[in-house]
Amino acid sequence: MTSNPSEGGFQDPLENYDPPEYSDALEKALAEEPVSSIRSWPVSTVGPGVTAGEAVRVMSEGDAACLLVVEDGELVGTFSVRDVLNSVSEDFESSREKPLREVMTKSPTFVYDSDASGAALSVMAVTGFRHVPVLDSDETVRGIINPQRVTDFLLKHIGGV
Amino acid sequence: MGLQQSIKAEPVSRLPLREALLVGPETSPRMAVTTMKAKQLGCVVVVDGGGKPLGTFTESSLVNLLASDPGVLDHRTVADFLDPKWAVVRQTAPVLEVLKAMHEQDVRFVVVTDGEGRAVALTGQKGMMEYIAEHYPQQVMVQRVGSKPTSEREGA
Repeated sequence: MTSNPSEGGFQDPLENYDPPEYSDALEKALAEEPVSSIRSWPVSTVGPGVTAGEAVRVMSEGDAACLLVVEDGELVGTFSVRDVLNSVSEDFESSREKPLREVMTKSPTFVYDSDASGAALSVMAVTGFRHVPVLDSDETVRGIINPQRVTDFLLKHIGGV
Repeated sequence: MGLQQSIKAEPVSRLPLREALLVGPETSPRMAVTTMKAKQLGCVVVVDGGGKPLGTFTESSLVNLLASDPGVLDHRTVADFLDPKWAVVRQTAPVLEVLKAMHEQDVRFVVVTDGEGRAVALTGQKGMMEYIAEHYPQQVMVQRVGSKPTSEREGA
């Protein structure tokens, strides 16, 4: 229903809205599909007091490239294969006893599960992180974006593959 | 040209490529780790005498090595710990081939070879993300992200 605003009636604020145009299905998916559609769940989580040696064992046995470090339900860090390389590999015999809080990546960059998928790619492109934690609006961990999920997402929307 | 068409049509050489860290099969894991750490790259490419790739020693190889016996860092060779999953594409192949290789081999790094099959560069997931961001900046690069961006690094 419409009416004349000059007569004090309702004017639809979206009346002149032009929806975004995309060149193809992939561009549309990047902008419109939420992160929740590509996140991986469940994820491997550990506490910050776990030793680096134990974390390495968990990663090897679980074929996991990144563990989320959670304390009291809050994401406090990540411990990835890159952290193993940078922080513990060359002196592993001694550093294996260090707690993750000393060797993890603190305050990791994350995305919300309601963000567009492009946000996750943005984090990866800008920061270089290959694994991006996903939180909900209550800051609770809801998953992780990993390279495999991103690759699958891209191939799915390129089509014909 | 849209992003989808670009990925299908443009060659791998248009991707942001990294220098491939080439090592011989007799290199010790410790030397490989030192090289990877210095260059902040997640793998070295193990090549034969002609520069043709034999496999990759990756961060995942390192994790498995440390979990089993960290003492072998100095006493074995990278050839003993090659990642069973690795992928190669030619630099003239479409970008799409990189995506397919990462998907089919379940890898993050893809070795790029020249026409003679010699390893000349490395690309992978980060290269793809940068390529998409470059072609699609109006949607990708303006997204809000949580926390503070860190200094540039390859991998995590």
